[in-house]
Amino acid sequence: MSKLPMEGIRIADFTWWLAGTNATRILANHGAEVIKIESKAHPDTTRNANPALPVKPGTGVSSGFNVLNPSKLAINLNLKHPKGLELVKRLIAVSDIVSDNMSGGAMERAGLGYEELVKLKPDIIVINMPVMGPGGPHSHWTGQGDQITAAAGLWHMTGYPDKLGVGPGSVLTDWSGVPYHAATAMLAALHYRNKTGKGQHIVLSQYETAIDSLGTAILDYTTNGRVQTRTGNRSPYGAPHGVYRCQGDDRWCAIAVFSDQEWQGLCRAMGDPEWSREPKFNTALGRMDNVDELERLVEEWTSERSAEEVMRSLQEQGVAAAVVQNGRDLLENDPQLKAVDHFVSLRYPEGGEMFVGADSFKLSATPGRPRMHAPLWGEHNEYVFREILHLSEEEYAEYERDGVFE
Amino acid sequence: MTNTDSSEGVLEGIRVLDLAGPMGVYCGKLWADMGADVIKVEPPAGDPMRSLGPFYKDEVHPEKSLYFFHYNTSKRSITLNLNTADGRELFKKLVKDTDILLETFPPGYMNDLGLGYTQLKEINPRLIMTSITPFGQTGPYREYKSSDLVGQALSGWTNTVGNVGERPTWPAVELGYHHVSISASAGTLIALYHRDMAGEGQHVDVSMHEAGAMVAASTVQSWDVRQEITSRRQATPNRGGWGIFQCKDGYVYSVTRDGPPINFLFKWLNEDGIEHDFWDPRWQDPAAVDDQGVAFRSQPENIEHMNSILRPWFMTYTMLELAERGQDHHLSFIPYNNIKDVVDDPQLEARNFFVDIEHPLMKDTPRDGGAPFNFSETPWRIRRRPPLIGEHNLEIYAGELGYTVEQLALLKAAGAI
Repeated sequence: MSKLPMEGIRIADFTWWLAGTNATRILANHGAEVIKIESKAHPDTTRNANPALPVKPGTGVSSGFNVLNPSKLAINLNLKHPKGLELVKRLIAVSDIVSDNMSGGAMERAGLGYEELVKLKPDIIVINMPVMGPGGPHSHWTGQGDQITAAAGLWHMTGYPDKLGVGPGSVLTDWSGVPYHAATAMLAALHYRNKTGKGQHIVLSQYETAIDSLGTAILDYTTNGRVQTRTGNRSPYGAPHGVYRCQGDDRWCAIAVFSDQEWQGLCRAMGDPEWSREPKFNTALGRMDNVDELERLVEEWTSERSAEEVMRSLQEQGVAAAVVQNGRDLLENDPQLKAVDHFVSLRYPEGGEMFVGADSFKLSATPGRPRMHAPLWGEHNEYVFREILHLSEEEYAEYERDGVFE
Repeated sequence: MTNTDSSEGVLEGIRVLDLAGPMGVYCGKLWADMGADVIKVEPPAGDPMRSLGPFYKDEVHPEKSLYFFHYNTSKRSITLNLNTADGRELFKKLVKDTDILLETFPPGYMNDLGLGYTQLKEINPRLIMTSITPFGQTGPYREYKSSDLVGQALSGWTNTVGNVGERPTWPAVELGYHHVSISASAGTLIALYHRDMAGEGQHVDVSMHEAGAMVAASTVQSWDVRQEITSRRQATPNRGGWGIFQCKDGYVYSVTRDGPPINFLFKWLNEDGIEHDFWDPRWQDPAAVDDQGVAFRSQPENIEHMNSILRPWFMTYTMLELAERGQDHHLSFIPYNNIKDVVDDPQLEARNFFVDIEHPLMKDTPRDGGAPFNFSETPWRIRRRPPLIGEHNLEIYAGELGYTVEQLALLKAAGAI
């Protein structure tokens, strides 16, 4: 059994909710010992966010918490208690990374800002993930993922020109931009520390990270004065390009045709209908000039078929096409995800099971995987305080009585 | 460039050969701006991405593609044709001193050229090869075609975009490619950490399909736990004051939490002479439910009642007026921006977020977005402007690999570089 690549790395993890916990998940699944630090005053409220994130019977945690926190440990530490603060500092002194995603200044106010932490461990790597960055008139602003993507301009650019823009799907800062940029930053800092012995302070502004997903929109505005806006499902590079209705309730297929070759493939899949042979559809420019009619005709064809059949027949002709899958499709009907064991079933102590995705990259020599259920409340108190921090049995009992572990 | 600091980057000393197309080109940029020596390997006539717009001042020209510009900051460029024997020889020489090879060719393409991971690791056992493909290196969909939209669709992502009952929608900024790029970055740097500790490289197999499925994770949970298919979200809110509201110069996204935040809103309304009954404690009491268990504040008629009072009030203020005053009192109003609002944002200006990047063929210096994160010891910065086609052929082939000018001329004429 190959060793996990991040074994030996310990993270004192103050992240909660989505964006930050998603980042430490990546390292936890690859072997890092990620210790979630929670208290009664500040639990990770994703745990019990019923009904928005339902709790499956027999698990004790919400589905959202399950997805974001596999392979991690969890402890309770009352940071308002002097012994609690002392213990958390002792834990940080034997950790490699300290992570949080609270609003700007929260860690400083708790006495755990970078200046304090670097005294405990000179090569500590600290990552903060506030909404806005430190400095500037709005640095204290709070906002959740959806609001951040709206502020970054993503809603304005998604949807149809004659309607208000919509969100870019899921809560993108939480499931994409923040976690993978944060993991990149933490891992790069670890590499740098391996090379030089130095730690560092990383600040990731969720708003600024979201803006970095805008592609060419900023340059197009600053250079050409153009405000990129909504184009529905159309691409400037080819037609037909969009999402087309298929048979059944809320069933659709996405199709992307760019080249003449792909256009011919689409025509073959459709059985070379009369209309497709009209000269106006023969060229890429022609297809774009007549895109309204073209899409209407394509959708007439797709509407009479299942999304699966459209996908299959187009892929057979070398055309990019795919069923617009939903959650059930992903879990039950997707042969590709099955073949690569994308979903891992995690079993909980009470007997319940939940599925979690194993992420998108497979390392050939040292693969990682969600290997343990998301931790229950205070599940690892004994392990962390007795084995890592060497509290004696008596000290542990005394602190417990004093409310240090709550 | 506005930053003349010459401090080293966090990935200083790491050499990357970047053969990536749209699925991976942001990953290369991310690392290059972090200090890695990223060499963009282009076909002799230039990378196909140089044909993608928008263009500088709409001048369609391979050195003026803003697409290429955005994604290739801080990189050097060489030209190389892997379909020639000479090209492949050159490539193997480069691989000897390469730490990370980033590519997005279809599965099997590099193998067929004799340049797959098993072959390259013989030349350089410390090589980390990262391959980004639509579906991964194995599986029944391995040969399937994809695109940003098509990839998002199959991965469950597209189904969540748009309003309930309407057509699933595609965000027009190639977020699928962006997402798999940053996923690849995380996976590769885990391999780099492992190499630091154990000395060996490895192959990192990245699938855009699996990456997208991670974005759609909550829809899988809904099915797993509740047998519910969550689809495009409601345009209607589930409590008053929560959601997107039109205001004087645009829209704000308002999130009204109980306690001090929403109390401040109610006070503000009073200040402005707006009559309301929102001080009734039921508005903030989650236990005030009807016989169906629906909280008072979430009952449709009450949502509409509150919003009918709020809507005209929002129209009397601009986005920034609402956000700045609200946020000073923990009331989460956030402006719903377009790209102009983003570029003009005083917060980003105060943070020096934007960077000016000079280019010999662009008289008006382009300004682009800046750091996705900040490091204290190794500041993020654009190290050089995006390269011209093969700009560093001499520097790398002659300067580093020792080829003579005559040899390079022969290779150029032969179509190898």
